[in-house]
This record gives sequence, structure tokens and C-alpha cells, in this order.
Amino acid sequence: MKRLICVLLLGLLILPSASAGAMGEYTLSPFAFDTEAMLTLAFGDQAADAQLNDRDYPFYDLPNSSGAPFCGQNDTMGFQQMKLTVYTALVSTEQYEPFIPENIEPSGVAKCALTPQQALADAEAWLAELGVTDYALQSVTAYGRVSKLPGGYLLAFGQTLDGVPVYWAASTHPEETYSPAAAAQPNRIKVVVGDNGLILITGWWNAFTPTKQDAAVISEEEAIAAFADMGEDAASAELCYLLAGTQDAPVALPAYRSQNRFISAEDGAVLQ
Amino acid sequence: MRKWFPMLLVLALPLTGAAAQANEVVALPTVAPLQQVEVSTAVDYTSASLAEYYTPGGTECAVDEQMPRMSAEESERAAALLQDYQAGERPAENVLNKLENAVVGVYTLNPEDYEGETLYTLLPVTPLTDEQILEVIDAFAQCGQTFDPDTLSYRNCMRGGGIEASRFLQEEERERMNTLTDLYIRQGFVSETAYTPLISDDGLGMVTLDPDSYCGMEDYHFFPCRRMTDDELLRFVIYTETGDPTEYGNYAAYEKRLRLELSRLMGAPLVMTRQYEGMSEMGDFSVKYGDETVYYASFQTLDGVQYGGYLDVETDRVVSANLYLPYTLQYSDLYLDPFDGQWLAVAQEAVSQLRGDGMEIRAVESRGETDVQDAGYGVMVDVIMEDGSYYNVQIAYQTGAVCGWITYDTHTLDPDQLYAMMYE
Repeated sequence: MKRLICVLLLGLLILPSASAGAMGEYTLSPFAFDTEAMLTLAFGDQAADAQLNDRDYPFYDLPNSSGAPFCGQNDTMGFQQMKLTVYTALVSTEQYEPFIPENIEPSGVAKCALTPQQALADAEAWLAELGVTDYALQSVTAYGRVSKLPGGYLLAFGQTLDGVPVYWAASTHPEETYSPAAAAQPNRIKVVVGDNGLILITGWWNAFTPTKQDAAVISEEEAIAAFADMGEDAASAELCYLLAGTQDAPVALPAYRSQNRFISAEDGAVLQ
Repeated sequence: MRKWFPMLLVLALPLTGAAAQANEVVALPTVAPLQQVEVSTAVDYTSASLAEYYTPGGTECAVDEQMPRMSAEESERAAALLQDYQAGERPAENVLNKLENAVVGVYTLNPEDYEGETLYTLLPVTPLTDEQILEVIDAFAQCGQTFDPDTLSYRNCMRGGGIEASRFLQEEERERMNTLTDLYIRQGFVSETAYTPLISDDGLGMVTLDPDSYCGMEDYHFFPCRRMTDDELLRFVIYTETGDPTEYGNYAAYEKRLRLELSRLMGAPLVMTRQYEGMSEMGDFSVKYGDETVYYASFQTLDGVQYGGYLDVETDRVVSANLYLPYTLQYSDLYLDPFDGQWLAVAQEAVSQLRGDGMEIRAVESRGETDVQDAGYGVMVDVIMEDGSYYNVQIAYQTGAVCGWITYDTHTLDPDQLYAMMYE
């Protein structure tokens, strides 16, 4: 019995470090979304007709058309980010307005046949088709409160790495930004869907290449103590990756977060 | 001796009153604290402060099209057009001292007020036509000068709305203008000399611009390169004040009512400095409202919190108010669920703390995600009161606390009106 308890206790001790052992350090590169899936989502049965538009990055639309549907993957925005844009024909034919406060349904249920559960299932299926697997659902916004506007859902997904969220450092997002390329965009994908199907998918995403694996990380308790040393009264600390570095060579560093402060998950050093 | 001292004080009181009467001191008809004029020693009345703005590569510099000069191509044409002018060609319009709706203008200056400059040129953001260049040449010639585009600089030229005045107003001048605005509106002080927009008569001037030619700018101000007198500033205040003079006598009462309502609705303290005030139609500020005539004013507390409000002068009710809690947050990449119940509790508590009359809260509803300026994202929450009025509260994800604006409104946007604005 004593031996069993010892084994269990040992197991409990090993668990945090086993979880931590999955952390590492990474360089970033633009994520390559599945092009065929992107074309199918944007153009449906007209996917074969889609043509490359004359841009610095792959951008597709239909011959002799202006406006939606179109789609593209833009890796020219900096910070090794890939911007995905999928606008279906519904963008032109539906009055979707999930970004207007007056049109938000606070109940979380939109006035449409589609349920939030089905909207989520659909969105996750589309993400899978695009090759997106490392994510966490951030929010589901129901819209269509204005009587003349149709209802639907906006679902936001944040990128994860090794099962934990990624956050861009404040230094990658200067306050006075005149050029969109000068600021990293949040690694999140928004999917807007209504009764008639997918309306649009937009977002920024990275691919990660490990440069250091199996980094040992401090415990959450140690992280809380480190935050306390910084004067931050943290009740909890979230294990995550901080995306820092330069516009050309960003890196992902294992970190703990308390509010908007970050410390290294390896040694507790202040990162932000 | 101690017994006599209070008695002497009591006896002295009427004397001070008599002295005050003799000096015709009149109590201010306002509940606002008197504004303190802080005279800064770091003043620069010259045009030199503009130099940095027009230095290429500076932190905040004019774009090329707004630099105070002609382009190389325009200068070349100017040389040829000068010959045409000397051969007798004339423009259709005279732009010398053109004071209204100026696209191109040339203005005579008193050299003692403008660091030796005698003419000032206004040029549009758009490429100059031959006719416009000829207008400039003609205006210079009327003053006995030969136009040379190489002499244009920020000391004698503004192009395309790059900057709104011939020099920056100094902080001490702004402070004096605030006081003078009060004296004009609340006390009826006026200058014996009327303001004239012509620059050459007294050194001050104002030109109304063609906004399309100046990137939306509607006026250009000429301020002499010296400390302006109180009387000059008063003239300028009176000329540029857009309020309705028949209402000025009511401002003190309106302000008192607004302060009391801001205290009841937004928890505003009594000690706040008024920053600006005026009257307008409420619909000019928000599409939620119509043609209600409102007195509006903005106030700031000693610790930098700002309050504003709009008083419907017909109903004597505040129809809209706002509170700005300053914050110094870094950008945060954190995104949370805007419909989580925790935000409703934070917003409800915030409004309960503000509200001074204990009115019941009818409902609290999330309005979804919002951009918290320079600080990432957060959530907007509506707190709806028993009487149907409502607060809109902004909460930053990164702190989980209220930050920035809290607004109060009595009108909502009609959904049909919203739809019409968007699609019809």
C-alpha cells in the first residue's frame, strides 16, 4: 500500500513536468492553408473557374466578377503571418452585420434556424478542411437583433501551440502605427455563418518550427511568486507562448501570463 | 486682547464689502471655480516651431504635397508664366488678400509682426494650374514684388492644409483665451476694436479656405510673431465664437444644472474645471437624437478624469453624458469571451458606484467585443436602468476592469433608422 502511495505521489510530481516537457522554442513562418479547400469554400461548385488575380500573393476570384466571392493567402504582411481571406458569394447577397453593437443578440441565440452548436460544428469542419487543427474557441457572437437584418453567428478561434494560447508581445504592436505591416495581428480566425451557409472566414495564422524542444518550465506556483516579485498580485498564471522578436524574425517563447505581463516559463525572467 | 480680536474681525467685514462695492466687483454668475491662468515661461511666439513639422523624416511631418513650396515642375512653369505676365498676360481673378473660400491667396503682412516677411502665400494641395500660378505672380506684382518660388518657406507659405495657422498658439495664449471666452460669454466683456480678418491692419487675420483644396481644412489663422495682447485675443474669441449670444446669459444656470446631473448620473465631483461649453442641436452629436436644443459642456477633475454632458434646455434633463477614465495600458493580444457573465457583474458594479440616486437596474447585456484604443480588445456592456436610460461600459480584457469611456444615453438608435442608414 505504501509503495502504491509512493508511486501515486511520484506520478503527481512527474505530471507537471511531463506537461511542461511539451514546451519548446520556435521560429515562425507563414501558415499554408489548404488551397483546394480554400477555393471550394469560397467558390463552391465554381471552384474550377477561379482564377489567380494579379497580386503579390495568391488571390483568386471569378472571371469578369468584381467583389465576392474571392479568397487569398497573403504572406506579405510581416511577422511571418499568413492572412487568410475567404469571402463567399453570400457576402454580396446577405446583409450580415456581426460587428455592429446594436445588432448583437446578448442572449447568444441568433434569430435563425441555425443553432450555435451547429454553427460551431460547421466552423470546426471548415477549419479542419483548411488544415487548421491547433486552436481554441474564443467566442461565439450571435447577431441579427435589428429586425430587417438576417441572423447568424460569428465564431472566433485563437491559435494554440502545444495546447496553450499564443500572444503577440506589446512590442510587436506599436501604438502609433501608420503601416499595417508594422504591427503583428492577433493569431485568430473569424468565421461568419448563417442559415445559407458560410459567409466569410478571415484571420492571421503562423506555422511554428521548433528550435528547442522539451524545455523544462517552472510550476504555476513559482510563476505566481515571480509575478509577486514584479509587484503583480496574480491569483493564477496562464502557461502560454509569447510571440516576440522582430517583424522579420519573430520567435515563440514559453511564458506565463498574468493580465498583460509575461515571464519566461523556463526561468521566470521578465519578458513583458 | 483675544476677546477683542473676533469682534474686530466682525466689524471689519462690512468694510471689505464697502471696498468691494467701491471697486464694482461683481460676483461671477457661475458655480464653476475660477480658472487659474498659468503663465508658462517656455513660450515661443516665432514661426520657428513650425520648422520641425516641415522637416522631412521628422516624427510628425507634412507630406510632400503639403510642404510650403512649389514643385520643381510648377517652379519651371512659374518662370515661364512670369515672362508671360511681364508681356501683359493677366489672371481672371485677383487673389491678393482674398479672405473667403480661398484656393490660392496672397496676403500682405506687417513685417514687424511677421519676422520681416511682407507677403504670405496659400497654395492648394492639388497641382497648380497655370492660371493659379499667374494669380500668385499677379498678387506679388500688385505689391511691387517679383514672385520667386524659391523664396517660399514655412515662414511665408502654407500648402494644402499642412498646418492651420501661421504659428502655433502658445499654451499661455490658450489659457488666456479660455479666460477671455468666459469673460465674453459670462460677463459680457467686449473689445472696443472689432476683429477684422484682414491681416495687414492689426497683424491678426483669418482666411476661410476651399476645404477641397486644403484636405478638409476650413480656416487658416494668422497670428503675429509676438505675444498677442489680451484685447487682441478677446477680439479673436468674439469673432470665432459660434454660440448664440442670446443664450449666453443662461449658461451659468445650465452649467449648474449639468454639474448637478453629472454628479447624480455619473458620480462627478463638484470640483471640476470646465474645458469647453456651447449650445447645439443634439442630433449634431449623435444619430440617436433629433433636434433637441442642448447646452453641452466638458469638465476635467484634478486627477484627469473627464466628464461631459448634454442638457436639453427645454426639458431641463440631461439626455446624454459621458465619463472618460484615463488609462495607460500597453497593447494586449488577449481575447476572451465577451458574453461571459463576469463582464456583466463588473459593469453593473461600476454603474451602481456611479449612480447617485439609487435607481434600479433593469437589465445588463453584453454588446460583444470592442476595440480598446491602443490597448487591444475588451467588451462593451449595456446597463439598462429602470427608466429605460442606459449606460454603455467598456471593459478591457487585459485588466478585467472598466477603462476609457462610460456613456449614458436616454435615447436608443431606432433599428429601422439604423437599417436605413446602412442600406437605403
